Amino acid sequence: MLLRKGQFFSADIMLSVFLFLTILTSFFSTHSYLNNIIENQEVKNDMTQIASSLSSVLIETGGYPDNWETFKVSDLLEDKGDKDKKYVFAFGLSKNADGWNLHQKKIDRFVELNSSYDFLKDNLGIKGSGYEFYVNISTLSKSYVVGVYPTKAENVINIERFVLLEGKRARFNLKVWENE
Amino acid sequence: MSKGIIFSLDVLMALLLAVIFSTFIFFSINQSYSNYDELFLHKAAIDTLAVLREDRSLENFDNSSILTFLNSLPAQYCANLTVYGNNDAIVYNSLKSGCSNEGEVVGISRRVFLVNSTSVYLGEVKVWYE
Repeated sequence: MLLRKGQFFSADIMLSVFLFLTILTSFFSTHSYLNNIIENQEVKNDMTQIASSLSSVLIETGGYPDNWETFKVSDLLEDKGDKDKKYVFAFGLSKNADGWNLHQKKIDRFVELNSSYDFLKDNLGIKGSGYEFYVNISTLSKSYVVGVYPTKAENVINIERFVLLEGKRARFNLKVWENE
Repeated sequence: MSKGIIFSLDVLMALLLAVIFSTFIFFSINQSYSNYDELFLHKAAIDTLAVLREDRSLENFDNSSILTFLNSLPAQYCANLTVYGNNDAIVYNSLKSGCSNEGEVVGISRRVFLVNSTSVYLGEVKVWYE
């Protein structure tokens, strides 16, 4: 009977284990990398859709009801039951249904609501986790700011629109951003 | 007894195919990003026509006012406004200063408007990145 001991860790096995681990590692790292890219892109898609539709609602409509600027801020915020509480289903800044010509009173009331940022954010439909918004409406002489400017932002979607404010040309800048 | 060679021609070919396949998938995923450039350009084109209509620059063919608006667009935007009359004849054209050829991605907006409640014109705005 021939007694020869086998060598368990032959060079072939070492090489094949090395190859196997290399392929396995590269597979998982590529998988994780692509997952991050897709996830990031999905967040950006979501934020872009929110920013796009929100800018259109604010610029191109007067809101619903279209006289919402006549409501007191306290009536919108306080829980007064069905009797006295005022509801705004959509905040639009335009004077009328034609759009693009913003109403000074609506902008003033919109800026006033900035003190209740979370209420405003919720009503504007910005409901994603960690999503914030910032609006800047500027003419040559003045600018109106609502929301929070992105400082530690992972993703920022920036939309620049062109409008009239009481007949004067103005810029409408909206940023929807994700908190880090 | 001769030793086998682990890297045979078959293995090399399989590895080559695997690398080509992985590279193809990797790059096709990288290139499949949603591109919103066209959406933003389209909105800029819509805004341009809407603002010029609202402040009556369009119906008055106010060249100075139209050019002032086009030139006040952000530096990265180029824009061209063309107004068509009867039989698609061009009756007015204005290009933002410093812009020339259209870019690869163009946002287009068109709007019909009336002058003196009688004449019908078609305004077309094209916006692209410089």
